[in-house]
Amino acid sequence: MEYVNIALPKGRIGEMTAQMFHNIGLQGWESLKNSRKLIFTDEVNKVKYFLVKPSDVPTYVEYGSADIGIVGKDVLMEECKNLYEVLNLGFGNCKVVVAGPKELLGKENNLNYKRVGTKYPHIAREYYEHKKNESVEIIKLNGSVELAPLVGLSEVIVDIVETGKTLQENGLVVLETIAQISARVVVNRVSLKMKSKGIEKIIEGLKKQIQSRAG
Amino acid sequence: MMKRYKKHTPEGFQDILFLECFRKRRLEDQCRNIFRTFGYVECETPLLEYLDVFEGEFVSSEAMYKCFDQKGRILVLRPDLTIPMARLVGSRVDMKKIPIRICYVDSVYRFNESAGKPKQIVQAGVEFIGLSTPEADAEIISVALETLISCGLEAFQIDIGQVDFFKGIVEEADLKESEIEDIRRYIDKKDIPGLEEYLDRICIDEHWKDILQQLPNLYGNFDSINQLREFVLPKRSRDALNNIESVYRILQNRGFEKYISLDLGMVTRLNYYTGIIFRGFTYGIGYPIVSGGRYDQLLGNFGTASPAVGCSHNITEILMALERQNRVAAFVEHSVLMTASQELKTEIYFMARKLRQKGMIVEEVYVDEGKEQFYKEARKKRVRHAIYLESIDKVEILNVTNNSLRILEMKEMDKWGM
Repeated sequence: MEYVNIALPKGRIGEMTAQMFHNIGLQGWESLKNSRKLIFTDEVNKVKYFLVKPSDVPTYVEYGSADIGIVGKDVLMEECKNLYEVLNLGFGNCKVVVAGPKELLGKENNLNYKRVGTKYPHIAREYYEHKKNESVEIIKLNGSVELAPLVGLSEVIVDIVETGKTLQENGLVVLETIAQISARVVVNRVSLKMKSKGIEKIIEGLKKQIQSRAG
Repeated sequence: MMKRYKKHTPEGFQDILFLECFRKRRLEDQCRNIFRTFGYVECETPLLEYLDVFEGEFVSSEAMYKCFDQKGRILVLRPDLTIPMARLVGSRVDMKKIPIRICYVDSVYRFNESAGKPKQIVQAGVEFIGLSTPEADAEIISVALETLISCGLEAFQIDIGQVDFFKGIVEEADLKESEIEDIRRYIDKKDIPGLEEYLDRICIDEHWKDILQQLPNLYGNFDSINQLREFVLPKRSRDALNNIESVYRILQNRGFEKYISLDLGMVTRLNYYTGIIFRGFTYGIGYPIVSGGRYDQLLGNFGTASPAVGCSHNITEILMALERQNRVAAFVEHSVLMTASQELKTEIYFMARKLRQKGMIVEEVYVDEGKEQFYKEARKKRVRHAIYLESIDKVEILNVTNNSLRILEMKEMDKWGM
């Protein structure tokens, strides 16, 4: 029988998912964390896991190297790969927002020429072009995006917000909310059809976990 | 400045060499054979077409390679072959002769954002024009299955859907265009939570909501269709279910059950497809290797309207799948290297001709460095045999595979062969 390959994101979402996997009887995730090995195999359940950078999860799943991937909706919206999105895990909750200095609150539409600093150029472009019909300059950054408006690199930013503390501490506020984000389960289109039994078993197990947590 | 690009092919376009080329041609010929034995007759259309042919929602304008002719008209490298075939049939074929079976094996060109992904794809496809019955639908799917089987793929599956089921529901539910498109996208991605959330937000009858929510999960066994029959359905959707069931029965009777699967949640290109829709998958490739369906509205754009159903196989991807599944054909060469001493050079040509007529590949060596050097070359080149004409009647043959030497008389050469 074929193995089901799962791409897990490094970081918090990956850890929380691992806990769920553990609860549905899948083994071995801890070894993956503690060793230098990149792939771990659960021979009993015929599952292989590997840890990847969150923004790479959709790529592995799209090419079929991973049959299943766990990743935040923000990454999915940014990467736009052709995948099945089958489950909302309900954790890792946050928002993608437009944020800027609090002086801009209510006035951001007055700006003639807006520069938008962001780690999510695709999300930002889609939002401004199609939702707001505004022409803006998107500046791609790789981290600490909150710095951009503080040092004059951009007027606003498009970034992820969880509690809002980082924004607050830097004198920034949420100007508009673009989307609600949480961890999702994605499946390769071919794998869902060709390894349906193995994949469905895992998805059902995860579903029950979510329901028992909510209830 | 252009010299930078002298040694490269454009991104997404590959040279195809030797063995790979041989395999590609062989695959194309295998497809042609299957099509031919089903009665499909091959046609060719030009590489360049007017943009107008593809305009409309058939193909995204951004995906096409464009150029201009001398009069400033916009031309494109054909991104698809079904539409040119429809144009050909509409303008050149006597529609009184329906049903018509047409096939093609040719390249199409599509721009995509992915850096390395091929932009030149070879498609081998069939079109069955003139009949809108389940038999015609089942024939096209049968051709697709026979073609994939003959290609030698390990484990593949064809998913079958019916777009009219979805269209019937959204028509009755009286939804806006944008709402239909959003719902279609959620169903197509199997985003069940997303779909639920969306349907809760918009104004839609509970009845239709329940049915639409079933769709992303309606894949796998064809019996799942019975779940839908429990609902009160509009006529269009009921007809769609009857159609897909009939097609399934026909394929089941032909022994294709293990290759086919249901997917009523397959709702793509709704402006193009009007009935049955299907896609084939295999291991190693993330995209469909064959796709097709019924498009009864297409031919009317180019001439007399006529129902049509067809499909096309992506040869480029099938080749990749075969490679990844390690199911590629070995390059069997009946090859021979041949040379002779100076005086006998002419004789060699006649000997070679006889062997070539038997289907062997004969390469003549013109550099005369002596027999031993010649045999060394033959071993290096890994040919099957090396033939050295010693004298007008003495032929020395080295079997390179087992390193054995044979001496034959000229008259025995007629019987010699693999």
